[in-house]
Amino acid sequence: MGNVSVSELRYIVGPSSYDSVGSKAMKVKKFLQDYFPSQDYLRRLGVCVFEAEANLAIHTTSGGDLLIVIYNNRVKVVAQDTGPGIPDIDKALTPGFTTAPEMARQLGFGGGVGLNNIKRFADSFWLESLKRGTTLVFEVWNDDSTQFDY
Amino acid sequence: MMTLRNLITKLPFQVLTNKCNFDVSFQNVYASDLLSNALASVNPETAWITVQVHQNILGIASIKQCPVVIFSEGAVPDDSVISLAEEKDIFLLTSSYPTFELSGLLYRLLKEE
Amino acid sequence: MKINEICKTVDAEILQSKGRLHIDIHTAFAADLMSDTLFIIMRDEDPLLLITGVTNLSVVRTASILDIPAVMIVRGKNVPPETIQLAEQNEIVLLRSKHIMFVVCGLLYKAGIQGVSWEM
Repeated sequence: MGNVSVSELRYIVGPSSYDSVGSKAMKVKKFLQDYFPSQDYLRRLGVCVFEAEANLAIHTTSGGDLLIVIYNNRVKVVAQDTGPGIPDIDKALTPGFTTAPEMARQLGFGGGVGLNNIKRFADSFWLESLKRGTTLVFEVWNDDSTQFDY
Repeated sequence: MMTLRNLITKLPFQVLTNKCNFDVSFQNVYASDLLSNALASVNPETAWITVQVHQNILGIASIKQCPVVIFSEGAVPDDSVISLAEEKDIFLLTSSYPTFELSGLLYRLLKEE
Repeated sequence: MKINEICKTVDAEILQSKGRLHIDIHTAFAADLMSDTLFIIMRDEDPLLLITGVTNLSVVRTASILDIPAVMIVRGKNVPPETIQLAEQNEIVLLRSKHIMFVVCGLLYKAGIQGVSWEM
């Protein structure tokens, strides 16, 4: 793709904003269509952003920020919130384990696969969670050399 | 009517609950991951297919006297949920098929009976 | 299977027809949890039908992220106008069957529609 300048997208995700879950992911996917022609790549990235967005909407006390940085052939996503934090990260990464409220599950969210899904499809994954907040950083690369095991 | 015995000999299920009474039978099947829909629709003659493994499913199965819950996509609940199901006499099975194929196979089986 | 044949098979109506209405569909996936759908469907599938009891906007957004061309709402549920509108904007065909999810899956499976290939 040559020299693509760095672009940034920034969104605020409100707490319990179930109605809008996925709307940022859709915008990101649409925006990136101009950068990346691979539908497979866009889908993979879209799923990761959707899950990060859903986590902010479902699990935070005051919502959070979603930052998307596009550079070269890669996209970095930073999802940051101000709490309440993930009490047990290992458990949160177990498929099927969910602490999502019933309300969220009634709307079709909170299947307990979100973080796992990001971990599976992202090329780098970093998660730090304290009571005062959680920071999730991941990158999805469009490099030809990357092999995905799915 | 299909008995559990008949069901597990015809399709590859894993039975999660011990002390299973294989003569328990059901007449129809309801597939949903939405608890409110299941609450409205399962009954003593229904086997319920879902990927939800949360303990709340037992509350619904218990209130509606639904005898069998089948988890699709190979979902398996915590041991505590399995023990609680045993106490409540609700049978839990799991299948590696997703809901679509599992429903397709069960539908064919029920129509053949 | 063409979308109009699918409709005939499961007694469905077309709620929103803008999009890839004339494609051939060979595979389907049934779920109410969108995170579950996002977890399973990642391959370059044939055009896929998503069968669901969820009628809110998230179902259209999920379909859009995953490039799913058609969604079948089960149980004759009321679909909010904003869901139909978002489907139209994103060119996702919306169908609605009177049958419950189990029966829709059963009839389509019998008619030869296959499940998505997937691994745990």
